[in-house]
Amino acid sequence: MRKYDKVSKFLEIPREAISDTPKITITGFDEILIENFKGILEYEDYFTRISTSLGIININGFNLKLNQMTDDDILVNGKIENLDFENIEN
Amino acid sequence: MLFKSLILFLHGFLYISIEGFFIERFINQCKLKNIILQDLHIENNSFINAKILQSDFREIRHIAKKTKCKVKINKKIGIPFIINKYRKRKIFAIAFLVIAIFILIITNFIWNIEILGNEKISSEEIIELMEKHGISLGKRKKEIDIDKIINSIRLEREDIAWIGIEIKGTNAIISIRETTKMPEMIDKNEICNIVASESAVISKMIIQNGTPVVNVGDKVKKGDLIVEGVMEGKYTGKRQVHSEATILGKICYEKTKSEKYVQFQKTETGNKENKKEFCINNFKINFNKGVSKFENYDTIRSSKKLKIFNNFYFPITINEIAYIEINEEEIDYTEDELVKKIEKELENEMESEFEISKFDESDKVKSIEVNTEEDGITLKLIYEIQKEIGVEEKIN
Repeated sequence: MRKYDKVSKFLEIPREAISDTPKITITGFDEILIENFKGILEYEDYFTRISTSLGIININGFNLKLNQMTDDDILVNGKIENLDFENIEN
Repeated sequence: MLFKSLILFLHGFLYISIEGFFIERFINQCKLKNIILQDLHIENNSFINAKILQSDFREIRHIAKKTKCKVKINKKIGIPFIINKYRKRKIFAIAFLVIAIFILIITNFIWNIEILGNEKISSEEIIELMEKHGISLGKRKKEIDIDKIINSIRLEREDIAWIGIEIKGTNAIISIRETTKMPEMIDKNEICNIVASESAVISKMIIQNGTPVVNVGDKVKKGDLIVEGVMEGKYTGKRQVHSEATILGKICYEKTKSEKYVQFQKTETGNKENKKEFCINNFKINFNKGVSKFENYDTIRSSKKLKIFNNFYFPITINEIAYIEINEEEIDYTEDELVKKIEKELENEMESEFEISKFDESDKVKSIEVNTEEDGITLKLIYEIQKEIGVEEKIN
């Protein structure tokens, strides 16, 4: 929030573009796109932990696949049961 | 998506499986090194499958060593692997290249000349004319200057009104429009004679202007003077005029034919034998050897140029030879039957030669002369036709 200053707010630049704030897009119950992620902490068939600059995203589900892993986005496919965030205070 | 997969295919990609305790670390290392892992999924809770680019594999083996993982290649897909697979088949590649070059070279020449629209001028004459001006089989396409050829032909030939040359593939299409020769029109005020257009006996003369030179019943040959463009008056003296007259003449057309009572007639039995022959210029290759198995037969030859697509001819001809078995039958004609038969045949011949049916029924007289001989008949068909024979001719 600090970095998203008045200038960029005035110019309507999206937040995830200028800082490393993650953007999470959920399409249906079977697809999550996370932009600006940092790394993968755990990866199993039923549980995935993905770390971002703000904290950790935990995904629970079945048959989770990591499709299209590039530099800063990751697409998680599979039957998603629940999603929670762990905030890291800094 | 299609474009992406096409690029992947061109570049080559691998399906790999990774096994180890620190798979997460392996994934994060890949992310750090900018290696894109696609379709990452875990299998049997023990190893993960992924799709990577062929060029990234070296780096991946490095990472795997560092993170103590095992990497196995499951499948290789892409053009670099296909090329690698066929690397040893050099002759195949060379032959492929040679054929491609051969076709490329052959398309630079003309291998067929097609002529459209000619009625009076024969195709052979046109081909000869084209050869003189630089279009012939086996000529390079670049050497042909179409505009120049068209201009020089138009200047040279008066019986060609328009000519178009189009080169499509290895085919040169020549379209021609012939001129129809108009009879020379002579102005009403100009001085002229009337001459005979054909040899005939004059049967009627109606003269409006001019002085007749011949009388009714006289024989005239082609080009003979009939009416002179001269008038003599009592007071005006001799003066030259534009002669005008209708001259009718009798012309005899005749034809003879002799045939025998006993004749052989050919009938097809329906049996056929086909043979094929390859022809490159004058070099022939026969597929079937020997002569036909039939005793009596007719041969029909037809040749076809080898082509692919519509206008892409090769300098190779395929000759097809068909042998058709025939039966000879003996037919005994009576005199009446034979006369009728010959008359019909002669009539058809006359029709195609002189166009008899064009004239009125009152203008033509038909007569038949029959000579019977020992074993046959000689028949003479005579048509006496009355038609206009006067043609205007300018006096110089």
